Amino acid sequence: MTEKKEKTPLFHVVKRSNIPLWQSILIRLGFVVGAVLVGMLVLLITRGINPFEALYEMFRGSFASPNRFFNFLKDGALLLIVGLALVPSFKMKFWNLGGNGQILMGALVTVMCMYYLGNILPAGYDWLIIICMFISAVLAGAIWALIPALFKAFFNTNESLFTLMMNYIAVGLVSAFITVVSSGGGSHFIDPDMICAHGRIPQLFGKEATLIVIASLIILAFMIYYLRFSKHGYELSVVGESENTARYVGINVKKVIIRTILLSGAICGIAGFLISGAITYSVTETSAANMGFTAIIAVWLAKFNPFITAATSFFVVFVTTGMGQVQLAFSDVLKNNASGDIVMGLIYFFIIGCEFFIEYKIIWNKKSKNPLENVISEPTEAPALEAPEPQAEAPAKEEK
Amino acid sequence: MKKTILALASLLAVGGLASCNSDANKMKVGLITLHDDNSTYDKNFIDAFEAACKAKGVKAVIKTGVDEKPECTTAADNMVEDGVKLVFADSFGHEPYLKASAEKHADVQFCHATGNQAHTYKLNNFHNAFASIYEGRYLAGVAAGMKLASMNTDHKIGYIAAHPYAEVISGYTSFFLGVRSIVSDVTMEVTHTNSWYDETLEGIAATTLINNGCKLISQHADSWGAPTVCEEKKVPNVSYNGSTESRCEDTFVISSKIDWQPYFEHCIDAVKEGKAIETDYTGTVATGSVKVTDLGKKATKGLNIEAKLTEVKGKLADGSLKVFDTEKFTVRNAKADASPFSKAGFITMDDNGKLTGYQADVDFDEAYTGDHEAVVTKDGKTYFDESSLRSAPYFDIVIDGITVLDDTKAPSAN
Repeated sequence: MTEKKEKTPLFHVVKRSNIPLWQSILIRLGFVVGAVLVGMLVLLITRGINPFEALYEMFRGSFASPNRFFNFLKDGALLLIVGLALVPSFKMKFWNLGGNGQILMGALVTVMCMYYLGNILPAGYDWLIIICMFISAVLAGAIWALIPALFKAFFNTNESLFTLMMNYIAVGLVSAFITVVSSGGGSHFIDPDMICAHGRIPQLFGKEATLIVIASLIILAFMIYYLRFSKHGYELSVVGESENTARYVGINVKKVIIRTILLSGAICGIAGFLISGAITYSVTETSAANMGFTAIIAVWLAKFNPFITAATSFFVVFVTTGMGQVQLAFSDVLKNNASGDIVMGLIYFFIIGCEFFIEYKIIWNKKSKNPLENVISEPTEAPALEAPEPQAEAPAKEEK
Repeated sequence: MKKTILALASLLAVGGLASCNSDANKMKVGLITLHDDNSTYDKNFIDAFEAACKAKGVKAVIKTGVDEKPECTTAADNMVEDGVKLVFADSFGHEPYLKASAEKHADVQFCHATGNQAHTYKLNNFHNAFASIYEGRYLAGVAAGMKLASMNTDHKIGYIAAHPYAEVISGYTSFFLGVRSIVSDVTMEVTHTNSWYDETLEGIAATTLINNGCKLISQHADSWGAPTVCEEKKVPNVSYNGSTESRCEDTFVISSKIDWQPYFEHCIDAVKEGKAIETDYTGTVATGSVKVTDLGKKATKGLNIEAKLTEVKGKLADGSLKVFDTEKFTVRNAKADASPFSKAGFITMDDNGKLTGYQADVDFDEAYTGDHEAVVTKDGKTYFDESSLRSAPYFDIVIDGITVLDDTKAPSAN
């Protein structure tokens, strides 16, 4: 019994006091890259796909041709816009899970403007339609976010559930609109050439991507300024740290919550405006392409830093597009998109897991049969450390 | 750590050796599907596509889960960039997006199943295809009629229809006419679910129809909802797109399906030989595109349906039997609101209610106006000429003997 007591555990866990931003991001990125590699390994073991070829295809997905590269830019910039919309609300610890719904509402009113105004206005008034599209999309996104924000501010309801449920209402509204416009056809979809012929946002330099990238850069610049240099940005981060502190220093918490969420929803609305007005000229229940959720990962990876969100957004798109290309290239063994989902799932899983390593650090105890030697022994060889590695997460998580 | 890396590296090396690219020089053919093989509809395409590619010695490139959005254009563009010479897409809503890619790549052929606009797009490399599945449903109807005749009950049957859309109306009408060719006094109730795939709604619809006194059920919907309810209540069921015998062995009668393999092979050959592909291709019983599955063993025991089916199939193939022969049905009750498509003004009939003329909506437009005369007389037979003006069906009249009930709704308690 006494011997057991003296036995030192293999490692112990210490809370990190302060970790620099670059270091925490490096840890996250390391885990993400690890997740991709594990994903490749899964493909190798289950499907016999050569990981080098798979990695090559993964890069081809975004960079094989100008066409693919512009698609990559477009998708990355769109995700960035949604990510930037989420940054202020997440920074305030308001968990806005309603990105999808806010985008959808923006997209819906955009298409409604194109359809109804396009029918009324004579040709040549596309600019007027586009202005109406923009204003109404911003308002629609903002209102969709405002409703849960008001309830949060005045009744302290749970914003995660509320925003989540607003997504379903938005899907329902879009579905209803499609049913009305497609006038009872067997196909439940909007033909762009029939419904959205007017008010299309012109392409800049012949590419869809140009406008989206410019829009994302403008919003990025604004967001960096807003969060870092404006009073609003300061206030919302104080509210995020502690509502009581905010109240004590005289910040009107309700006002800050509502104002921030309005901004968040409005930017999501802009994303919807761009999707429907400049890319698809149509709206479906899945117009938001789940970006409201995907962006959360990008934002989380970036630790709510708008500048780094730009990098992580493009990275997430790179992985998704890349896995799509892997599926295409190996479609004789990969019958569906599940492989891409597995790799994305691994990334999410690793990110959640790595939060632990950011909060805590693991200190390996030197191993020796003679407890006295512990004090003076040299660090053991690397292979000795290898064995407990997989177990490190499990006990550690419990402690957390 | 070193060991792990070593092991990893050796694994990679083995993988590298194993996957030598043997089919680099093969012609590549692509298929874009809306869902993956978990959906019976898409599985039907994927299986036929793989079989066709194997038979023709070309490399199959398949992209599943492609929404009816610009990502369909992207998927097609990517395929073309990767060397695909022939692209298929399987969902109705893919059409405008596949066309967008076709416009960019004049040297690649694009074939769209179930679409209806190729003849108005007027592109040399964009084609529509469908099959005269109404013939398959007629055959299934004949089998169902023989089953019904043997049951010694009321001659009332039920049909669960997806959308009130020409493809569906054409389908249930031909099924009904098949049944009526055996049981002359049969009536049919139809209810719409307004969804191609909704297990709950289809189950509710089946229950409603059975409670209304329907003695045999068929459906144009893709889930297991209706067949399962029929199995529980021991009501014979005629399925679509594949046999349901595995789970419904007591009640499965027969199923009609489209086999896309002949069309895929036809197009692959055309591209190989540099021949033009038809703007509209309609697979038939004769081309092997329209099929019925094996008969349900328990439900059709001792009925000798097989022989009758062979006889009818022969008549359909040689054209001596027309499903929509105007002698076989009347349209007295065809109302303007029977379908959003069939406008009253487009139907003409004689005093007995026999169809004498119909302006079908062949060229797609927002108002669904009729633009082509679909009733023709050939070789002494007057019939509604389905799927010849374009491959996608356009018969959308509710004929006498069929009652369309209210749409099936989700339970409000939800």
